[in-house]
Amino acid sequence: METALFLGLTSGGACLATCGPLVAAFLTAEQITLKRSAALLTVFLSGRLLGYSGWAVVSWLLGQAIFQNAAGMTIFAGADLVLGGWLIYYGISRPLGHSHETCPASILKPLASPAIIHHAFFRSGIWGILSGLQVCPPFLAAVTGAARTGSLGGSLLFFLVFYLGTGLWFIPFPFIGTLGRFRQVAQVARFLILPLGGYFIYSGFISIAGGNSFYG
Amino acid sequence: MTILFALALPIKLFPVFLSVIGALDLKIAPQFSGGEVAFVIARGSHQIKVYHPVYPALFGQGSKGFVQLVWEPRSALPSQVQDSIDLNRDGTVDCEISFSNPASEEAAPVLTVDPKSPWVFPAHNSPTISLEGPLIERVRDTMFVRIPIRKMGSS
Amino acid sequence: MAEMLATTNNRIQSLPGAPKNWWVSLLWTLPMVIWSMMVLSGGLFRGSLVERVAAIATVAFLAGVFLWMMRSGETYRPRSIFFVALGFLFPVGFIWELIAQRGTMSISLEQMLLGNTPFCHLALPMMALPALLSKTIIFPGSILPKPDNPHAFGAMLALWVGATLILGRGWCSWGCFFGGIEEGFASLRRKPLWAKIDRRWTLFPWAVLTVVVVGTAISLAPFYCEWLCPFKTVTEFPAVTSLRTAVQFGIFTTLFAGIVVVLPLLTKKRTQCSFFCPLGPVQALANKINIFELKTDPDRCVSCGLCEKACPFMAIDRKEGGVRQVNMYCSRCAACADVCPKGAVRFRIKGTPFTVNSSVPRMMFLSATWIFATMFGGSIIANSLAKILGHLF
Repeated sequence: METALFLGLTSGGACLATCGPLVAAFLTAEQITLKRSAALLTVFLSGRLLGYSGWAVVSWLLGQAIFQNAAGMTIFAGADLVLGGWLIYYGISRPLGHSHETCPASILKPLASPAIIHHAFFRSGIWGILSGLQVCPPFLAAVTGAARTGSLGGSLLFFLVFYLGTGLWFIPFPFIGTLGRFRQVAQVARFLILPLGGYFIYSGFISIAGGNSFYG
Repeated sequence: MTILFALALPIKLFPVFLSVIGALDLKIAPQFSGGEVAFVIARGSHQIKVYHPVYPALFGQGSKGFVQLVWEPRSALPSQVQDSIDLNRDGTVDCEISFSNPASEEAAPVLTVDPKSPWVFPAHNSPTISLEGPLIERVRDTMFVRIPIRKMGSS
Repeated sequence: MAEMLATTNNRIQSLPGAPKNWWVSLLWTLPMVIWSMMVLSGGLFRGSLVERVAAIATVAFLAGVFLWMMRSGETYRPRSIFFVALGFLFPVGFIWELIAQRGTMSISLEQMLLGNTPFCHLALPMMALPALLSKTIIFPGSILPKPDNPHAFGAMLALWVGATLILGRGWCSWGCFFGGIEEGFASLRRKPLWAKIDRRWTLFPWAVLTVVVVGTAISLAPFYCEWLCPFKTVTEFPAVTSLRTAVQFGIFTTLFAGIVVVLPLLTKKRTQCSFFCPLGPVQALANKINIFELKTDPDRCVSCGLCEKACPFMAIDRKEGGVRQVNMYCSRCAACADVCPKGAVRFRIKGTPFTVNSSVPRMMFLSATWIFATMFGGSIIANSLAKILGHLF
């Protein structure tokens, strides 16, 4: 579960950096009170948790199908290596020069538009579920981590801890904007993807090469 | 003021600061220090210090940990040591520990742990694996041993 | 010779805060000589012949550097000579001790179990969260100094807090010996081979800080020391006896070669300090409470950009109208102040106007800093010199 927390804490910032402006825009689209804004955010985050739970089930099924033998473990180790490289590429290429990046789930945003869903709370929930179904490198890393737990309960717990780790970034979110430091915080959050990628490369390498003793 | 502070730092402020740190009751994390001595077993020519179990965790206690045992003096130990230890003093032997005590400093000692309680993990001719055990290390005239365990009483 | 003196004099006149004659310079230097003799009194008056020679050489060296700063009005170059000397002599003394005690640079398990691993200031940020939550220090050392381990956690914390209160981020340019190594390599080339660096990399240390704090809290081990510290290459490291320790060895030697040697050589920037060190952001925050600062007088600045090019920490921002301003990442090395043709960048006491005679803040800063640098760096230099001289003779 430490891996889940580490994953959530390091990748959650990147989630905030990419999806945060959209969430802010979505929350402030209408003239709403602080209480209503907080309520909408709660519904959004609940929908996000629901989306994550769905992925937890998928991860468990994936783990059952693949992670039951040595060949499956090697596949996952290889996936770690690929994911690690992809995370590092994601961390370097996206922050340096891309100012109009958007959350991958934004392509599904039309499904949650006011034209289709009139009720604000229902719309928040759907948007939360869509953001919880995003497929970006940190999320795929969470899928492999959850699949490794070997049980549905373990997978759900993994994603819950991952969710909490990413969710911690949303707590100071309303204040970051007022400090005027959002761009810098977002940049640091994106940089966190790099050591995360390094961790996955190391994890995959150790799994394939074997050996974990203190003295060899 | 800054100049005065810089002058005062080594002379007066450093010892004061150290006293403040001493008063804070900070401790080195037990996964490094081994924890506190729980009791001592006398064995005639030598003694065994048995430490309180350590279950490293950021909050509270973890589900797995280790117990540190120290044999001293090492010079009084034979080349092969075997001991039955009751780790929690409930009257039953929890494990049988045996280890080599090579005379040559080049040869590394190895540890064997034969569990008699379900919460003790086994080890067979093991060198040091990690700080949380199995660990066997010559430390001056003592032999440090750490055996990995689950929560005492669990299975 | 006369021409050289005239050029030097002209340059001296243009630098803010330069004393105008030898007597004033010597008068300012004398207290520092007395202070350094007090600090090194052990070696000077009670040491062996080699230790006395080393102490005398160190006192003379420190006096020479400080006199140079006073007479010339320059800060960066004399400081750099002291700092690079500290950077290269520290590992010499440290490694010498290790080899003498154990015959190897490898950290021994015995040392860890005894709580004798010397504590390093770079590990400080990682200790905060576990110390607050569980009152434990996640490091195989000792809390208070003892005969086997004078470099205990408490001692380093006391030293660091004192240094930070006096210097702010000036610790990075006047105290941290690791930075001296880097500065040495950065000063080898006359011009950078690679001048264009994205300024956003100056935020990367915040990410490293987050990772080491979170990583330490989760793994319950000093994460930065185990996985990321490049300076294990010149101090001590776990023996390579497993795949894990082999990977760790690979990481820290690569980091040392890359960001401590090669990149500073190519860019003439302190790349490890600016783009990686997790203590950097903490020191930068300390700048907020330090009373001294380097600041640009916007009325004098002509937007030439020389300060921005000279700054080894990329700590100069471009403001409206092209005026350059020193930001919170400044390490008070004064490269910007020395290179500014209009004397626009100057030492200042926070809250005072630019009309105050700029030599006063500079003198105050240098006095406080040199007192600390003599105590800390001077001791290290003398100790290492004694070892080298002892070996040679």
